[in-house]
Amino acid sequence: MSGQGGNPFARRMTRNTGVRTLAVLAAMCALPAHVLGASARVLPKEWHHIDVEKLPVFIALVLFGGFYLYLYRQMKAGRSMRLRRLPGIDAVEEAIARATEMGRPVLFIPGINDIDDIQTLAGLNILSHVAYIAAEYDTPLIVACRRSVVLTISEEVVKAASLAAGRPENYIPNNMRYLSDDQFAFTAGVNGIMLRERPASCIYQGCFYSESLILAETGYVSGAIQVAGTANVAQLPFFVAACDFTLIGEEFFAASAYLSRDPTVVASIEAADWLKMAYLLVIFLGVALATALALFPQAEIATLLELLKEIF
Amino acid sequence: MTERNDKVGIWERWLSAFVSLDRRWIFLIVASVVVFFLIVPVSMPVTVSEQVRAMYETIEALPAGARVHLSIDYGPGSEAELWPQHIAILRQLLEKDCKVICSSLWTDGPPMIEKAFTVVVGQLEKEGKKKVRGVDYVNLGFKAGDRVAITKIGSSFKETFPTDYQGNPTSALPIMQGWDTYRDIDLLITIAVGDPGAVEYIQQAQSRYNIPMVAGVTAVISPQLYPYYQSRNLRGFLGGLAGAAEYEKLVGRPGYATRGMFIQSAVHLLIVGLVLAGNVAQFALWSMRRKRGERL
Amino acid sequence: MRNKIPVFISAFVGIFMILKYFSTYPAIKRVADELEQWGVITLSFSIVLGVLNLIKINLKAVVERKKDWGYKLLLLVSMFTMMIAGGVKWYLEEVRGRQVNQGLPLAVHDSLFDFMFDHVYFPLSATIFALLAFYVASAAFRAFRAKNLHATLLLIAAVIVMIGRVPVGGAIWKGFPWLQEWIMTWPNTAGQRAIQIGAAIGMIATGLRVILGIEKPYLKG
Repeated sequence: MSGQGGNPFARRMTRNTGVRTLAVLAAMCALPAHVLGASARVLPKEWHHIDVEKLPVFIALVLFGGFYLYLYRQMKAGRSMRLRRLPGIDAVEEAIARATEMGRPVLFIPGINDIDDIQTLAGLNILSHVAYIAAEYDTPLIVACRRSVVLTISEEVVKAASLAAGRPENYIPNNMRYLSDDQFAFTAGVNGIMLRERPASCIYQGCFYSESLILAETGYVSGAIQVAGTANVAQLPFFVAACDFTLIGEEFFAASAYLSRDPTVVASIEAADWLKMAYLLVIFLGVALATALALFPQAEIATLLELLKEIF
Repeated sequence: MTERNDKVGIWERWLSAFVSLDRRWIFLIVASVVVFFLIVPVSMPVTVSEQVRAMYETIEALPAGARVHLSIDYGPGSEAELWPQHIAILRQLLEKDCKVICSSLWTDGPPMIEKAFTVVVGQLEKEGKKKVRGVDYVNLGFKAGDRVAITKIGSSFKETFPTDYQGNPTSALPIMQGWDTYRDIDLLITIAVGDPGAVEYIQQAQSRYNIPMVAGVTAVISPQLYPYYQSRNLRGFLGGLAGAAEYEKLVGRPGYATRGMFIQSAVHLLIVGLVLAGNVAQFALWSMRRKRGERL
Repeated sequence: MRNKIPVFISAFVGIFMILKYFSTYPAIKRVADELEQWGVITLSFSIVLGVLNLIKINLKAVVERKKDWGYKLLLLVSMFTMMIAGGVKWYLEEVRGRQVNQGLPLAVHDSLFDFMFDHVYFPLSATIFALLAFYVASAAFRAFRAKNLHATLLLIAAVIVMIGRVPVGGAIWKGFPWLQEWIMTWPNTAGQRAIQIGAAIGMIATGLRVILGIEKPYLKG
């Protein structure tokens, strides 16, 4: 994800794919943790009822919050931000338009996990935009859910989006479907919808497991244009192989910001980019310290390295 | 000249048909290869990978009487890949006189635990090694709650599982005497297909209690475990049927996975062959169209 | 007000859960545990909504003899059969079992529910999963085409890993297993870490957006 304006270094880095290359290089250079795991803890495990072992997560939250507030204020002061193009998200609108032309429905699946999974929440954020566009185009939207809570929230999301688009009639209760809590029974149910109701577009956004390829291949056979998005690394290759467009990891989480263009949401995407920059610096520092420790095995370097591990 | 054009046309039609081959032909070829090698078994030498050997050595290093929590987090859907791992590991543990405490985070896991106990305990009994339920092994059954369940198990086995799968009070079982938390466990093993599975156990149990852990997972999940193996969160792991075959070689009992290796090899070769042939056909087709001056 | 209350509830619960994560203070833990229990109870009740949705949609289609109504009837019959069988199993274990087993539940493994679980659900589940083997072959055939440099690299890596993972790879060339292990250990791990770091940061951003009410799709209207 990228943003414009503000920090020129971050702007340069996020504009192109350099950041990804750097992240991969840094991760490749990073020494295995067992090389680093020799020294004893520097910080205590607990301090005044605070779990110090969770300090890295706390620091990530504080950094993100700080970056977000700063960027939010910048944006309020009139700074504009631009997101790099995401072909996968552009394809969503195209997919709905195609369904409209063909007079067939759009099928949306917000993953197979329950509402306590952050990927499901991200999927529902995207559903809101998909439902809005579908309502604008007057195209029926089928939502298939594996969990009943997700179904209930999906109903609210589609109802609200249809109302916001000025077409409350586009919310069709019979198109909001709970199929089964069982993974493969759900898969079989979705396959049935694909083959019988022939949706022109299938949009998979959320957490998926082994059913990913079964769904995507059946969608391919039914002739649908398919857009997938997940942060589940093990399933990404299947979606990449079988779908027309795939949102990978962070792209999937940024999709709703990209679709909404809401500056308050877009600011959070740039804040996430800044946080990534901060972690890249920490990775490089860690690699440098570990290399120094390997070359000059001194207690001070080991302590410094351990401290870095405990803080980040 | 016309004849030559016709010939080119036929070739192009053939190549075009192959490039967009109906997937049902591919299904038929795959099924035929599998069935053929099921009927005509062929054996193959298996090469053991580093992480499989590391897992074997971790279990081998356990002393007699060591407590092992074996979490069976898969159902019948992934039985083909994970059952051979399950059997090989369980047998190794019981042969080494370890105390095997089984549970599951998947609703369909407990029947898999029972099935494996029936097979392995039966085999050992035939060889004169008697293993007693509740003394040498136990099936604590299913616990709902995914990640929360893992933390609950870690803090108290007896509170999390008041009764075992047979309905006996857990606190009365000889195998459960004198310990209750992950701090008393010598090795944590999960045989898992997805979420909750190996990654969740690493996050909620291994890193929290710093206990040695190994895992057996499906081939799809195994790439995810390499970072954890490098960081020593995992002492070793098995990936899919190939991992199981390597393990069977190490424990010296070639079984279902070893027999399946040639079938898997043949299907892998078939897919590679199809992919390469598809590419050759695609290039030939492009070259023909380019020669005709068509834009690709 | 209608919009503010849900945002307030999600922010309150979310911030409390974050506090519980970082703090070991017993009072915070107690309240957070209580909130978690409420969540579990709400989730348990919601299953009823799912079942009602299933009955409503499918029963309507059966009654109105809509297209494919036979499948929907089969679904309803299967669902009710399994529910009744589950209820009978529960009665045998929890009610009759406690009467004969000194107040403890009795495990029953030969009920109709077990039979259907072992002989219908197990094979059906395995069958759907097994479809993957065929779908992997057809997807690989279609997707692995050397259209450009990136696709060619993907193709080469896929071929090496597919051959190197199985014993026949070592039989063809001894370097295949080593090469696939190298790909899996280094480039794969590096890529996995890079994606996981990006996804984790994305998760933090999404989580905070929802907790702080910056993004609230259910209240869009």
